[in-house]
Amino acid sequence: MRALLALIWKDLVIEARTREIVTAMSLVAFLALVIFSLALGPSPHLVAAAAPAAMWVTVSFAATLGLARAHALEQEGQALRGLLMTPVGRHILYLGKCGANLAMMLVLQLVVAGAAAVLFTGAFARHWAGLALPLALGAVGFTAAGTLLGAIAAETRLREVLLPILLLPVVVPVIILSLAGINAVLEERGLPELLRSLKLLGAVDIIFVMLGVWLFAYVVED
Amino acid sequence: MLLALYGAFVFAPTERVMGDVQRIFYVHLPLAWIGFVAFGHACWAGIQYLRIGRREWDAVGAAAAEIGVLFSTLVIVTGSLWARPVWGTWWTWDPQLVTYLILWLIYVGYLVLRSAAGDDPRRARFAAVFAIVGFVDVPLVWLSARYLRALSPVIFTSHSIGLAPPMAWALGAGLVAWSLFYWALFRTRLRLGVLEAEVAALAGEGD
Repeated sequence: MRALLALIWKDLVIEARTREIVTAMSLVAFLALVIFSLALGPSPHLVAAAAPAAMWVTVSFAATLGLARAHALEQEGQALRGLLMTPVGRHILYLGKCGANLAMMLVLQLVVAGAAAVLFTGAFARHWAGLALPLALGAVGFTAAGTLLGAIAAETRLREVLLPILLLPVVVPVIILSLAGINAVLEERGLPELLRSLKLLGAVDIIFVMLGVWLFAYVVED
Repeated sequence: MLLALYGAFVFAPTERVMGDVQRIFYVHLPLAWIGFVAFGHACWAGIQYLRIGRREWDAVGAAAAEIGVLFSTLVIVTGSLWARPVWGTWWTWDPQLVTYLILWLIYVGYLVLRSAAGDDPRRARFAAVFAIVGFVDVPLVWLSARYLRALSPVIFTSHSIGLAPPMAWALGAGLVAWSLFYWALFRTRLRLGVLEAEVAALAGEGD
């Protein structure tokens, strides 16, 4: 447990010092949102209706970029090799990387949701408490799959180009279910409807985390 | 082999419901099933490779996934050709279609991954891991796509088909023929993969 926290802490300290990944991700996401709202035009109905979709598209692409960068960092200076020599279980390494990635993705979602509330629809700000859960659970599934596949993609020739090709089709269920939850909140369809999608989403998250814990060792081992 | 295929094609059009177009069904459905089985095969090969670590299993996975991509491409194309006159559209977001499309994308990604990894010795492990993740993902996609469908109204109900006996025969013949075809393709591709690996090993010794 201490090793896990230390691993997460290590990545977050690096990020806090450089602020490289979160800044880059947030800027890309913000730009994408601006382009979305320009492309959608001035109609407030259209913009409000498209807001959840635009937000998830933006988040998924920006987060993919961030994940690729986070894994490239492990490559530089052979940081990952050093970690592999420590007597820490591979699943702890995976969970640590996952935790750090998750923290960064949550910050990204916060930024994007905030920007979307301003640019797209004020409904985001009004329902922020209800939206937090589907977004956060979505981030868990996204990073669980992204950490495993990011480790693979970083080792290949195509690197950050390969990651979206591998990751985005795999996380489709996460995105669909998270959006279902978000729409349930925004359209005020009540708690049971929201819980139904969140239960499924939670199950998907657990499956992805288990897959990662099981398979990560095979990816990083020499 | 070719005879069996030919027989299925000629024998198949015994019944018509939606005109000639319906005949595509005898190709479409067997292909869809076998395409799915092929990806299961690739996933199984991935598990075996990670467990045992023998190179043959990697070749099995590559062969199965490659043919699976070929078959599922044909599934989507034949499905579209069928849907156009019958449903009046090339494409709809029916859960089955969504699942198949994502399945296709995942295994196209698998092939890209294999080529991007080049001759990295870890390629087999990467491929195995991704084949497993991809296949586990399929039921999840299906579940979530059904969820999507439950929320937004869909114009087309899922097609329930009562098959007249001759049609069932034609379908069965198609299924057998395409399965044999899959198996033959698979054997050929597997041999190619094993030979490739041997050549690579020999070239490695030469250095």
